[in-house]
Amino acid sequence: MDEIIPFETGRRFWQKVAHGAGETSVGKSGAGEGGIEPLDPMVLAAYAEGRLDPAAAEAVEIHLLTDSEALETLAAIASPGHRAIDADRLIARATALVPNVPSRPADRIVPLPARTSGLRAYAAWGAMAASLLVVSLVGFNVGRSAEHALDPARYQAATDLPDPTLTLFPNDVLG
Amino acid sequence: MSSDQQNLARLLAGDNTAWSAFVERYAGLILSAVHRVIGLQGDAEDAAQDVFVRLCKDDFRLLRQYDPTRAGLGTWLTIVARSVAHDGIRRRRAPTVPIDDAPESALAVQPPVLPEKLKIPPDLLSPRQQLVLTMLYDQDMDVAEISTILKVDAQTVRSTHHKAMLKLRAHFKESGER
Repeated sequence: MDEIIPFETGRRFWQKVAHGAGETSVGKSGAGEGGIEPLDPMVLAAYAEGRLDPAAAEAVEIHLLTDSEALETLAAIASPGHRAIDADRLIARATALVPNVPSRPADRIVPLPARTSGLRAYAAWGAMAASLLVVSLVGFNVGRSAEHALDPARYQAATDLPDPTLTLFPNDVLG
Repeated sequence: MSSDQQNLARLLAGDNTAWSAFVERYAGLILSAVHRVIGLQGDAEDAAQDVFVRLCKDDFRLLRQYDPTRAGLGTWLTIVARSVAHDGIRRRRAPTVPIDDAPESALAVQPPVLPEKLKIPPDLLSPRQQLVLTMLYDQDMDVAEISTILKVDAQTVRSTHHKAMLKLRAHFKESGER
């Protein structure tokens, strides 16, 4: 059985070896500096909750060797230590970022009343047809009168017909 | 589906009235996460507001990247908030001076005195072993923290550390570098 290596011994040894080998020492920089590609927050969150499969988790751990910022984030998640901070002012400011109205036009459309059915529908259609008929007759009559007024010669033939009242009652009869 | 997830679904479906409930629910968590990053280096409230701005920007583009099947919203928001806070710190850092504008005296350097260094072969330790040593000795985390992060018990952390150290010792004894 090997002797247990104390942490202090391990620390001294690690300090001697780890920073001599660039490929194995942890970067002191975080993602976003020093050319380290940051981990997708969703991947890091899944790792923090132990929801990654072993291969994906190992890939994250290899990344963590060079991203001290992500390691600190994991430590922060592991020990939240939330302080009671008054967030009232932040809530007021952040709430104002988004107008408190539905943003999609569809949400602002007032729905039409439900369609009527049966006799009421027939009555509505009947009223509409009757209105159309009245409008057509009136329109036709007005058009005809206007045409007559504008071009009386065209209608001379009609006016040249013998007046039936004169036929029945000659002038001499009428005096 | 939890009420938080329902509220988020409403928000992403275009119901902006769900935003205020979202803010009230997560403002404390985001403010706390940001505060732990920036400490006294800036106004935590401004940084937290920046997080909310990024979340709702471009019709909630960032918020739409959250996948409830992969992690809890609180965990994801903590990571996003810390990332935004780190970005803010980087932006606020003093701008660098071009080397041509720097005075001659500022460029004078002493030859570095490098301590004796050894080399660890890349494949000697597994990623997990390297990570445990890094967390212990570079990040100064304790065994309990590491076990929580790695989702293993404390004894496994000690065992991983021990095996890694044995490998290192054996390697340097064999190679005669030590």
